[in-house]
Amino acid sequence: MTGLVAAALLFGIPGAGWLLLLRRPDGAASWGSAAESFLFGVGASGTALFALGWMGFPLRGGVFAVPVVLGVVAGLVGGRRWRQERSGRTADPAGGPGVGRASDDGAPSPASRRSRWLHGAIVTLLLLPPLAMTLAHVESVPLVDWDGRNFWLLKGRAILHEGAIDGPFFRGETSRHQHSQYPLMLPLAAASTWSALDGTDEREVRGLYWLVGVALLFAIRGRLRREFGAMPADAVAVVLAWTPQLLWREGGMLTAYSDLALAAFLALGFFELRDRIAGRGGEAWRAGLWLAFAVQAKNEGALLAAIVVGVALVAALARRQKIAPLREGAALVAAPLAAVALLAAWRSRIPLLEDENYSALARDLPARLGELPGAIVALLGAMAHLDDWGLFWAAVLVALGVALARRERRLDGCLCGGTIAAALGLYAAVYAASSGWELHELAVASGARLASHLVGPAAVLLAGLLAARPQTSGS
Amino acid sequence: MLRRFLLPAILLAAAAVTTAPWLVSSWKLVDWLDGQPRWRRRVAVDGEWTADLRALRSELPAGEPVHLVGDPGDVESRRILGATVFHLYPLVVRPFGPRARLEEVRESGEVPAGSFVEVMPGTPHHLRRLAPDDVAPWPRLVVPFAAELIGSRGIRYRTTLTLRAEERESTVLLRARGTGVASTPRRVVLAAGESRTVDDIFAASTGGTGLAALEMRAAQAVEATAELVATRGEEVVRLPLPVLRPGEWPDAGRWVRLHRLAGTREAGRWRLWGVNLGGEPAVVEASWTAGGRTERATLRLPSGGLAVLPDDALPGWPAEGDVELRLEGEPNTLVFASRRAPAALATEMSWGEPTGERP
Repeated sequence: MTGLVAAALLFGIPGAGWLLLLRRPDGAASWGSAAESFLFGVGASGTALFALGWMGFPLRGGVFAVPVVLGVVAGLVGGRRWRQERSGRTADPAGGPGVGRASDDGAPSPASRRSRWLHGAIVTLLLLPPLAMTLAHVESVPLVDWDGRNFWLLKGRAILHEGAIDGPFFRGETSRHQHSQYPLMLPLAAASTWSALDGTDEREVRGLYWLVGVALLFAIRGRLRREFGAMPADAVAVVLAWTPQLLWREGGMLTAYSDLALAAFLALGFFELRDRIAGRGGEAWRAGLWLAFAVQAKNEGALLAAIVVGVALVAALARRQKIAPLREGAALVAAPLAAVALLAAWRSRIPLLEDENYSALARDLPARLGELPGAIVALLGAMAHLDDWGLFWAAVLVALGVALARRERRLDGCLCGGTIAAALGLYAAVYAASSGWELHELAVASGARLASHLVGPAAVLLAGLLAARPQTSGS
Repeated sequence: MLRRFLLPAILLAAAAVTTAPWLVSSWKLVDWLDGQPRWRRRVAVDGEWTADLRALRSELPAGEPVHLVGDPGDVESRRILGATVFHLYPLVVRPFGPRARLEEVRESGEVPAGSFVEVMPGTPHHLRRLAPDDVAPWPRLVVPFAAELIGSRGIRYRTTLTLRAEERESTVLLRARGTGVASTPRRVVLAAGESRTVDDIFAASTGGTGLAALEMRAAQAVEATAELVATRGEEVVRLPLPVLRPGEWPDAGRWVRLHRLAGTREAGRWRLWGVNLGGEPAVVEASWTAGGRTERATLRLPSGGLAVLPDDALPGWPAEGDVELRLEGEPNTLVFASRRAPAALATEMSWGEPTGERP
């Protein structure tokens, strides 16, 4: 439990501070904004520590505290700014442009108070068993997963031991180092937690990974509630909270993988961008920050961020939105490009050891295009596996069809469907180009886990289907 | 109604079909583990091998790398290998490969420093530290010799080795190495106390310059004697050859007086031969006195084999006359001189004698 509390404070507090600086506060505390604060804290701290490590700062106690201090200072500055603004202006119920949003929970009416209470109780009762049980599991059962021990947490230990992200371990000069060029956001977050607790036991960082998974659920729920209302958002959150792949399969919140962090950053970048296109207060540069965190979380992050940006730009152009494309576009891609450049600069110092060779995959792809249909079938088969995802993706497919059929929800259909289809196409292409592996083996080993990256856009489609009345996708 | 309640209920039920049993089993597991020490919990969920890992952790020296011997093709071995690297960090731990590879490097003598831990899933000892005797490189013996074969029409050379296992059965790997000679290792198994003569490791009957050494590696101690046998028709000459252990090489890292090389035109010209059986290029510093003049030269020997030093390696080396040679070689290097009179049957070889520190 100490690790859980330490991770919540280490990343939640600076994350809340940064978000307070970057957007107008909601006014009321909510689980959704707390979840976003935590995720922003993980993303910003991990990225900041990576940059500090790349610049040669020794990653030890004092340096690990830098993101926390910066986050607190940002919070003080942001809080003062919003207080001054609030006291200096007259009532503005709609809020100004670029406003994050008002309350997650909506305004309760006295007549519906009892039904709201009942709704809340049912949702709590449904969310509690999986979340409480996974928390008990995290606290009591040792970590046994493959990737977490083979590289993610091993990298975290090496960072803490060597005080660097390019030390002998990362150069392959000491212990075995697989996937040497994987991004280090989560290992840095783990090292930061260990540093605060003065230990290297994996028990102390399992809370961090559990919190990332829970924050993903609540961040999605919070964003969906603002738009679709409580019932669809809670329904989607409950379904996701019971989904085996997100809970206890390899890559879920019981393991020390980086997939759920990637899914969270991608989802929040996607939500922000979608809000911007629909004129609901999203900001392109804020979307860019979330997508930059996705780049820093996992290798796939850069390509998935490019897909989100590409699909969103196409949608914006199709709607002939009155935005300044150059300025907005630059604001959107600046942070992800900086994250890619930072990763590339670090990778130039790190030999490629037991890692995917993406340039070789790209080179081999044209010769192996014949494998693509089989790869798509294998990937979709893994997503349709009841033991991993239940009927989630089948429902998303139905929701996509409904969204595309309805004029008022077509934008969502295009944005979410385009993002999901492009991402799955990318993964299928990687499967097809991976010679030496059976497609079936690849799909069994990773298909269900890779699908979790797309849970944000999928949740939007599902919430749209469950919404009581057709929601307009934009102004 | 269908959309708002029934669809979420169906989706929840489809997920819960798998998750609910897991929740129950997870609850039981958590309840069962409650109160148990951490390592017991790990054994319970990760397997018995983690108990061995716990014992190993206190047994392994802190500053030494650990080599994990196990079959990377076996999923369970791979799982244990990866997790062991994690749990033993910051000890330097690397997968080494299967047991067969360990035997190969033992035979070749290139065993890396550090501890060896064997991963054997499905056995009572899943992780076992190998004893020093199980990982020690096979002791090496070298029989260097030179065979000047130029103009040796009608002369056949061969080496004979007499090997005798001491107390235990021993496997001996034999091979010839040198310029123009590269035989694949041959395996000879000797029973305890058995003596055997092997005479076909090196044999030459054609012209040219032959330079070779016999290299032996034996799993257990063996006694060995060697000789070079030259035959021409009925005439047979046997020249005893030294059997050296690397540490016994006369010019390994110290100054020696190689020999007073009295030469005449009739007796043939002395030539120098370099042996470097180390893994890195080696340097031998040489100085010699001939005709009242002292010359110095640095000889560079390529790694991993034998070389005849080119004529221009030692400028001023006399074609004949007395020469006193001093050498300072690096470990694993050996320089010796040989000559063969044009009409003589056998090569004559000369080895140095230690003279102490560098003058």
